[in-house]
Amino acid sequence: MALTKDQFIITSLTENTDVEKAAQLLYDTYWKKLRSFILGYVRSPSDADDIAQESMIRFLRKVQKSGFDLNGPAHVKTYLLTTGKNTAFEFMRDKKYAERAEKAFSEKETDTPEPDTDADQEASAWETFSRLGAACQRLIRLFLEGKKSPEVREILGISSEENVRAQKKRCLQKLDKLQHR
Amino acid sequence: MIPADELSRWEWIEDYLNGNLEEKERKETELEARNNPAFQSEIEEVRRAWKIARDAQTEQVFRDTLTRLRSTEKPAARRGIIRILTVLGTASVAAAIAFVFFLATAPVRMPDPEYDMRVLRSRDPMLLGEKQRKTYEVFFSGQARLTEGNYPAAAALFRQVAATPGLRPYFTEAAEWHLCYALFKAGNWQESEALLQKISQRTDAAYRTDPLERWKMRVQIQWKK
Repeated sequence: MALTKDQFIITSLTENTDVEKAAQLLYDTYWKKLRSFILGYVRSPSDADDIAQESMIRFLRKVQKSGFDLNGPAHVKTYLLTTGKNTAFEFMRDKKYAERAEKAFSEKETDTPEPDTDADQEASAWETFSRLGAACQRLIRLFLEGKKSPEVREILGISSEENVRAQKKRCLQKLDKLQHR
Repeated sequence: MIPADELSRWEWIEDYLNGNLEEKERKETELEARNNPAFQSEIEEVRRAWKIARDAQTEQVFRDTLTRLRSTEKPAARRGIIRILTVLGTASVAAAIAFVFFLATAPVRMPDPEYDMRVLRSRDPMLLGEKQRKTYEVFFSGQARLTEGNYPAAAALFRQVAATPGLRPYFTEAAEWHLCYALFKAGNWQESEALLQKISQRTDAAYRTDPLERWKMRVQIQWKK
């Protein structure tokens, strides 16, 4: 049975496959609606673009962290709009536009379910990974690309395969510690 | 057998998580995990670490794709300007095509043959000299041939008038314009075009011809050539 758009997006992002295609589909399906919804809260089109992108990234993190139940109360569109609204408020608070935000909130408040914000509170995998040293990032990327230890040794100019394996283990342990400390 | 040294055990667990172990090895690993909490937490550590790495890579691709897609979107203001320019451009092209079509198909209009005030310039024919009067008669005969549609005959008469020496420039130029038209209608494109060019290049013309009519003739000559 063919997957729906939402099913394809969520499956791809959960399994880390066809990510580019899933991002494109998400963008094509929801970007304009999300952006114009956010423009109801912020005036600047470029701010709306940034907030819309941030909302989509939060959606991705939600999917990565705890999955996304398509049969649950929140659909992808609802989740994105609610996240877009919350992100817009955060943005406005940051810009000391709290008063305008409250007014906009009272006018536009909807009954849509609030997204869980666990994904926002803990550092994302992307943020954690970016805190790793450059050498570790490069080494792990090579393994993620499907390279084997002998190839990695050659590319990075590491003295022995044994050292490659040891460095990989060390880098992954560091990554885990950074995420959970 | 599950390796005893840390490094090999780590890779054994990676193989287990990636489904690369034999059935017997897999069962051995699961049994050890059930009985050994330290080994179980080691498995969890490897699983978590790779998930972070994969999720980070996914987010990077996701971010790059959104950034690329955003950069290809034209800003709304630019979209509006492009739309206006497109409409104006299309309208201009359509107007230009319509104008060329008009020039190519609309008939060339000549002064009223019944009474060309511009040629006589209100002079009483009775007060003209013999030579002038005869030339006027030839001119009006030419106009009559034009009206009948006998263009070669009209051309011959206008050619005669235009070649008559001692006439006012105004009258000679009027004869040339009528000759040009008669040649055009008779299908003598080359001579008509040469004469049209001569008339158009005249900067101190005494007899004014309508530029629109000249353009019509020029386009229609090119069209028919």
